[in-house]
Amino acid sequence: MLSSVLIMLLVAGVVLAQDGDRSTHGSSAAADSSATAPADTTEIDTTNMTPAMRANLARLQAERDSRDGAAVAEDADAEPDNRIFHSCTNTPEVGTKANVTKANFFARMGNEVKVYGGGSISEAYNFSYDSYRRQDRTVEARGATVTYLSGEGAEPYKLLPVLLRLEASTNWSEDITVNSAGRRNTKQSETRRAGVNASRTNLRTGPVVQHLSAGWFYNSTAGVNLGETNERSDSELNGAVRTGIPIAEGLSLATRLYGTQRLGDNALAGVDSKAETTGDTLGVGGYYSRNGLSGKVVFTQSDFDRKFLDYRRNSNGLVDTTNIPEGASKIVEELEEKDAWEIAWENKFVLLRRFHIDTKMSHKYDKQQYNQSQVGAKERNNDLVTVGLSFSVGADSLAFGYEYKWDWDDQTFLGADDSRGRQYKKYRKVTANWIRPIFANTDLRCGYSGELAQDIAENEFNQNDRDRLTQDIDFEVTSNLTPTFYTSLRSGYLRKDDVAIRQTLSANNNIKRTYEVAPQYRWDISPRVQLQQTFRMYIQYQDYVYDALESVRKEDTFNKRGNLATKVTYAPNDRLEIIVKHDLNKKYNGTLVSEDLAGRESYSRDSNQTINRIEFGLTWEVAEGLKLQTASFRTEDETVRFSGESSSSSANRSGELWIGAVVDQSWDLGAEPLTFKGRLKRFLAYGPSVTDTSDDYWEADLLLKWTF
Amino acid sequence: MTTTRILLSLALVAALLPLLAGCLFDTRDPEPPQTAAIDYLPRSSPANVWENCRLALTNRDSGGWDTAVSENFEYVPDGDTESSFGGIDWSGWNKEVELAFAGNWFATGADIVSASTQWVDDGISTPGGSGGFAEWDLIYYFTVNSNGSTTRYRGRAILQFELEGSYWYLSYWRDEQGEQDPDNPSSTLATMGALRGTFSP
Repeated sequence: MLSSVLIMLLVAGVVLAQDGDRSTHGSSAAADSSATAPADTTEIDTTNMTPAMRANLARLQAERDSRDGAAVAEDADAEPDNRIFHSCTNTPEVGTKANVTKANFFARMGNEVKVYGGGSISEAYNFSYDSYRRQDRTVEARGATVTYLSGEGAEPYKLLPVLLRLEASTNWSEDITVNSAGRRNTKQSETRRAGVNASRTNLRTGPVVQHLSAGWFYNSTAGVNLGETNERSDSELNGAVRTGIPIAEGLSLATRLYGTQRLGDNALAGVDSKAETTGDTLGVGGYYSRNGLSGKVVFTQSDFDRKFLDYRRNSNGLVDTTNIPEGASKIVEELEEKDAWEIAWENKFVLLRRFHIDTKMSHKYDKQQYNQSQVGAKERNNDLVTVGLSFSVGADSLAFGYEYKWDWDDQTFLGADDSRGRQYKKYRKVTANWIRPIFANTDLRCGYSGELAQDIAENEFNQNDRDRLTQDIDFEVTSNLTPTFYTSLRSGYLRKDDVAIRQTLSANNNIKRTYEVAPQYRWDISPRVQLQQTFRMYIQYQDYVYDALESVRKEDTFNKRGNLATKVTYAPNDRLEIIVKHDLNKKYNGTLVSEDLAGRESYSRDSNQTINRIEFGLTWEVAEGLKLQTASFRTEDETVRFSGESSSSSANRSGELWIGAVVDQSWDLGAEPLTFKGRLKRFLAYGPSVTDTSDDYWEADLLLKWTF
Repeated sequence: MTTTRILLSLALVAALLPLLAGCLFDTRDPEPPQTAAIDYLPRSSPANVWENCRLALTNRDSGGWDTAVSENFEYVPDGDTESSFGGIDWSGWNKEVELAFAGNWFATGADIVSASTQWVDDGISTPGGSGGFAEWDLIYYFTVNSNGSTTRYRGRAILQFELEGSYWYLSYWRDEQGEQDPDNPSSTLATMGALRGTFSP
């Protein structure tokens, strides 16, 4: 309905603006539209607003201008150039990026010419080639784009009453993959898009400000994958009206109406059909900022319909071409419908300049329905409440937070009379933080975090009923005892309760407790030498709730790990830095074997593990814009496993060396800068996890760019 | 004085929040178990963690998946998955998203009837890892029955495991490509990325 109204407005010759590039691709369009607050993109008369509100609006406006590709955003005070063509800029660049996964080579050529009236014509060509090191795979891509932007030049150089954007683009790619059985697949894709968009901003009628836009585009996509072709071509019409109205001091209203329609043809795996997409969005928002209160209330509603060819899909929405009824085609003419709405309130309250409350509440609902897919109809609901509170009292700073989410989804499979039942997800989280200076240069920080996540299946249509409770308490004392000596002591306790509600999974219910203590210091021995040491001790228990039941057959476990890390940094001069690190880990695993009447537990040791790792790093600035770097590590990993009276041991050694250079050079060739930036490394590695492709390889990120 | 009183009162109210949390965080009473526990292995090696992943899948136990996956988990999809699910922010696929995916998938009541692993290169002595890190290159294969539909997934993936605290965790999963259907060599099966895309939160 809304789209029909919009299209009538377009036919009546209303000049519209922007949003032309908001094309509808699949079901994401409606979701995207509903996700954008309507007033976020609308200019409002700021005369009666507070400085903070004006600053916020200015920021939003700048973001919008940036998004809208404002090559027209020339300095309004600058003297306009009244030549038809001027200021031609060419920007060729070539480069390569390589790592252990793939090597990429790319080239780009950009060209822009300014034209009379503040406009521009720009062209861009790009090419890239990826060669994968672990896979037998190459990807090649080419693309070209031409754009004319009329500009909103100042009088008398203004060409048109609207900002006109003409664009045409084409992109091609080919992805050739050979799988592990030697089977080759060529995936090709080619897209073309051309069209025009006209927009008019800041159209004022009294206090009302409007932004209007309209666009028409031709889209074409052709692809082949796994021997199946998929082609689609359509014409797209879209339009948007955005309005801002100041109502009173510190209060304004903004609305947005957006509609789009695409009509064309679709061919999939040899089946032809018409394709059609329509979508519309309505948004209304109220903004306020008075007496320490600021915030917004936004309502958004969107509808979206799409007719297209698709493969048969099962009730989860996954392509399923192996369970097709006899005589039926694997291709279906699908109709997807989606309706969504959202209401959200955000509020900030500041009292006495040091007491802050931030609140957010929102409710979202959407319904999605398919005519052919076994998915049938799905409903989703999301409710959210967050409250944040922070203030200071004397030397103390406190912050508290609360978050509550309540979501559910439901599904009625295609052809079913009743829905399967709702799957609920409830989530609560509370946080508290306190910071206090306890004496000179020494602070205490305490934190608590608790969260409970619950999955609840209505009508028990599945066994996925589960509660997960996480509670975390930590304390930290930090101190700069002297300007050259910093120390801290951190301790923490973490508890995770994993509670499956149904009898089929509750045997694994368990509680994990982790205790951690970590003292550390950093000592600047001299301006050139720094020593840092950290010791961390973790103790973890995993207690099974039903381990006393014979049928459960689970035993509680105990793990302990100590880690001592030492790091020395030495910089003999401003151009050379050397770092040496050593990391010692000792780990023990154990299993509960008995518990006496007094509750004393006894554990048997299952394994001991010791990991030693030493690292060396060096950075040398050879000359301005050129650094040489190298780093190396060696690791020894020894494990002893105990089983009854016997034991077995294993030892692994691994290591890596890399050497490389970082270059950042620029040459001014008669005010036409040529820049070369790059990072190049060669890796040599050994160890049990090192493969043929990772034992000797180059990592590179090189770019050569010239602007003239 | 009045200001201090107001702020102290607010501080007192706020300090009560953690106590209130005790009421907020009451878990439900579980049903006593009628079956044996899933026999998860101690997370003392990457191989045990991978076996625990298989057990969590075949038992649809999101708690088991949670225990196996690292807090720093990353997932990188294969090219087909990336192009089929273009609306998903794959670069932000972390543990929170992974658990939401697992919860959504298991909530459908899908029955994972088999799951197996095949090493790509027999020369890799992978299972032990070294120095708290292990990287595997493998092909996984599993079958899912869901409301009368049977779908199979077979993909080649790079997996990384890391020792965090006292336990090993699965920290990185990159699907490289779909692999050949063993029952129909002329066709290629999708990777687990298709499931992640379908059940992404």
